[in-house]
Amino acid sequence: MTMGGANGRSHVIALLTHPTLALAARVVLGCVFIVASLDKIIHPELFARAVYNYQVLPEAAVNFVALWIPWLELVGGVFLLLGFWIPGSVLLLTVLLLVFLGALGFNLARGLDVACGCFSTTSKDPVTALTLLRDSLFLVVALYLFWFHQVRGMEARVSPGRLFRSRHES
Amino acid sequence: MRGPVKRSLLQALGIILISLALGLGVNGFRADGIPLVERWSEKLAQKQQAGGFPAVSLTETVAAFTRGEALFLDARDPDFYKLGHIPGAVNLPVREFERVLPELRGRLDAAPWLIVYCDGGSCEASVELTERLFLVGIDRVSVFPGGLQQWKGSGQAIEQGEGTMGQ
Repeated sequence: MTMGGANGRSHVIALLTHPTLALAARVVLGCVFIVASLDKIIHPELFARAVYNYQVLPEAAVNFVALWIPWLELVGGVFLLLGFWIPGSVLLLTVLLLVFLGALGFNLARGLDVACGCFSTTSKDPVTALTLLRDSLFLVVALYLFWFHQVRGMEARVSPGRLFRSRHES
Repeated sequence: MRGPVKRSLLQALGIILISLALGLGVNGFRADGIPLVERWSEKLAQKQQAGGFPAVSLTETVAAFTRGEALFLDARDPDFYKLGHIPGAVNLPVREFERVLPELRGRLDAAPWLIVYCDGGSCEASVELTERLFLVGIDRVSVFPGGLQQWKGSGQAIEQGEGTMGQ
């Protein structure tokens, strides 16, 4: 830590463990996933084509995955926002972001010019290094929530984010 | 397993099951749902062959033929049509489109679905005909890019002679 000293360190910990920050992170990540899911749910065929274009899945799995993933994003995002099943939602969305980053990075690395299909199903949504940066930021938020609700929750069993319902009450 | 870990995993599993049920359920009910398994490479190749117009595969064509769901349009010249065509297909040579269309217009408008074909392989008459049909406002049209070649190759019946009007 650059600040040094026990005082600066405790300030950072106080900030990171503050329920309001965790709540803000939950709202942001929840909204991101909800918004990302809508266009894909509305246009299943277009999203399936985007998934196919990634060329990372066997052809037979494309439609199944394209039908399932957007709802995973929506349900996970809504649960996160409402504070329902937070640990499970955070775990799932973290894994989902890792998978997305893996697929994006893989295609960027092999120079495949595919549409992102991230927030919309139009082809005017190219994958660039900025896309990776954006998803990495989401991942940081997700990992923070993972730490806040799982690691820290296991140690302290304190209740974060009392504004919404929380499953850490017990 | 420790309690919190187990609980997270169970919740994640719950979300997986809920989203699966919603995704597959909604897809089953909506009118524009997609098949669970699709041969994408074949579909996109067909689409390209069909010049961007809706395309049908051999399987879909045979199904439409068997159920009598579509009126087949042979886009080739009459000489080729007489040598052999899909049974019941109507000849609408793309080269004589303006002349023949008025004779057929009533039938085309009455048909719920039109499937246009030519020889198959790299023939272009079917796509050209589909384009012209769209331009005169007939748009319930699909192209069968496999054409007569694929139709014959799969052992389907062929009809010879004048067949149905529109010469």
